[in-house]
Amino acid sequence: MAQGDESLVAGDTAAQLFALTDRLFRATGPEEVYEAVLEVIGGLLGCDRASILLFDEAGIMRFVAWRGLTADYRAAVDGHSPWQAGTREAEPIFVADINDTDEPEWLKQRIGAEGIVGLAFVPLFVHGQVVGKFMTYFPARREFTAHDRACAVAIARQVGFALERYRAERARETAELGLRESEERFRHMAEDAPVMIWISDSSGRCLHINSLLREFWGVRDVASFDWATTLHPGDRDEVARRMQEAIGARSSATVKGRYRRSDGVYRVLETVARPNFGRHGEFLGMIGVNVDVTEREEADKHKRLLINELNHRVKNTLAVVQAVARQTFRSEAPRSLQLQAFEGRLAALAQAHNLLAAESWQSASLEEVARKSVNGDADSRVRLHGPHVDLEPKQAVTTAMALHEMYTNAVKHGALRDPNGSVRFEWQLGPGPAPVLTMRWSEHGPLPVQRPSRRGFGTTMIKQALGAELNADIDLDYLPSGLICTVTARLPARQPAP
Amino acid sequence: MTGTTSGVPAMRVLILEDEVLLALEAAETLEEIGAVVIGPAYRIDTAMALLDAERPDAALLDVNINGATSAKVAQRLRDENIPFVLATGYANQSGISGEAAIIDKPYDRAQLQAAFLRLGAAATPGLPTSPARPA
Repeated sequence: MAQGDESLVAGDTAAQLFALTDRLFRATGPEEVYEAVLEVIGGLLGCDRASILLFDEAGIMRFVAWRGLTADYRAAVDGHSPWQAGTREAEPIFVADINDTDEPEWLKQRIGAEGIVGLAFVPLFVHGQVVGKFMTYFPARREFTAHDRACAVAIARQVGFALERYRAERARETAELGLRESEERFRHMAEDAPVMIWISDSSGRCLHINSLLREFWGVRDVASFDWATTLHPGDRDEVARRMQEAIGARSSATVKGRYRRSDGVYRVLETVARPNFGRHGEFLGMIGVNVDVTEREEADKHKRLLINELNHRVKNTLAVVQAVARQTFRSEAPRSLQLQAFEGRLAALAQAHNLLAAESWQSASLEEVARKSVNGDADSRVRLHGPHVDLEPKQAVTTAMALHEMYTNAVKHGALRDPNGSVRFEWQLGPGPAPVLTMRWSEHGPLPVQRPSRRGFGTTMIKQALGAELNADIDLDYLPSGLICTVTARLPARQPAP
Repeated sequence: MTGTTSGVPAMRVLILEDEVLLALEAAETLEEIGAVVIGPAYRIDTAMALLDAERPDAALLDVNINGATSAKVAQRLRDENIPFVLATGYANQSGISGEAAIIDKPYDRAQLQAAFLRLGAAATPGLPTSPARPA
């Protein structure tokens, strides 16, 4: 080749490579890259057939672009590669005549059938790893010159750079898409979460309110919404102050308050808010969750009420026991009898409590109270007769203790001293909302009755305590045959349950 | 004249206590130091009716009366400048204020007597307290 021709060739090569570079630079996708490359290969290497193949995800070499190849040929040699995907060691292979190689016979025949004799395999690199190759095909034996080889390598590098660029772009797009999807997922999650979520700016104004909270407040336009106006006037200053403090200190806060729901009902919301910081640590505002704790608050309040009520009853009962003890132990009876009497009185008190506890401390039936108080389960000498009457708790306790005193007196001093003695305890209830309850205790026994002490606990319990509790007149008549006690009670109208 | 430390001469004391036995005990306890008991009232409306009928010098109020509080009675006593002592089974959560003293249940007789002896000692001649018996 003459000197002038060589420079002409060199100049032409440079122009074509320059043109390729320019087209690759302007290409908007891999297809345009392939198209440009195939054209330049033809022009630079003087062939009209060429192809580009890339490893697919499974590492198999696949045709992605070609010129002048039959579909049959492509199908037959698809997957054939001198290199493994990802290898870093790959040199271009230039074959002057396929028949001179050690390739398998079937392959040689197939290549020959396509009218190909000379061919070149040029690896394509991305990040130093083989990702595919381009091929050139010649219909006759081809002695590849140093120029051919240099051109092939230059083209391969240009293609590699272009592919690298597209792969990087695709990776970034995939990452961005993933990020968008992830953001979308979290947005949906926050929006539709079964808790109330909000985000505020650094002044405490709401920027975002999720659907449950918008529904709670009935918010249509977040921008013009002021959450503080929904606070109960009694809580407004305190909650606003606590939130402003948290914003000022950029710290977390847990605040409870009554908020007006869109239907006008106040609900207790517990807000847990945390400061929200940007990527560079700048304070953006607060993020918070509101939980409706109304039911919990009410249950707590109810529990406190029950505990207070229990405390009250326990203390009152202790005070009653104290009074019973004082009155029992100041009698002139021997200590052993005092103790016995005290135990009996405590048992009567406890039995009345049992009956009331069984009815949730609402009421107790007079018949039950009487049966327990006169030892009715073991001693059949006391006959009970009367209609069903419900006694209020304190009426039941006082009646039980008074009847216990009557029974004990009858056993010690009255008709029941004798095994053949008996007692009738009868009651009647008058008509009306505040009926008169009449009770009559009448003893019948063969032995003379001993009148008990006027100042004893039994007398106090029957005459004063029972009289006061039942708003009753008490008439005690000590007949020779036994005591007759008549109680005429004008029961107060039942007070509504607290 | 003020009361003496040995007694509360004829101090008239309204008792409101729904537990009959305790009311009777309290009455007896206050009578021991010379007080005259009004009531005892076992219900709030009874106590209000007794206040309509006469003006006591002092009162003993149980806080919890049949599940309600005796706040209404306390308010009336405060309005009429009648000192009162609260008896309660638990820390005073009733919202009642203005009491002269609080005694915890169960209390002993000496505590109760001491509270009213202090009231008697604090009474001033200007108040419509019954005059002391001649010494």
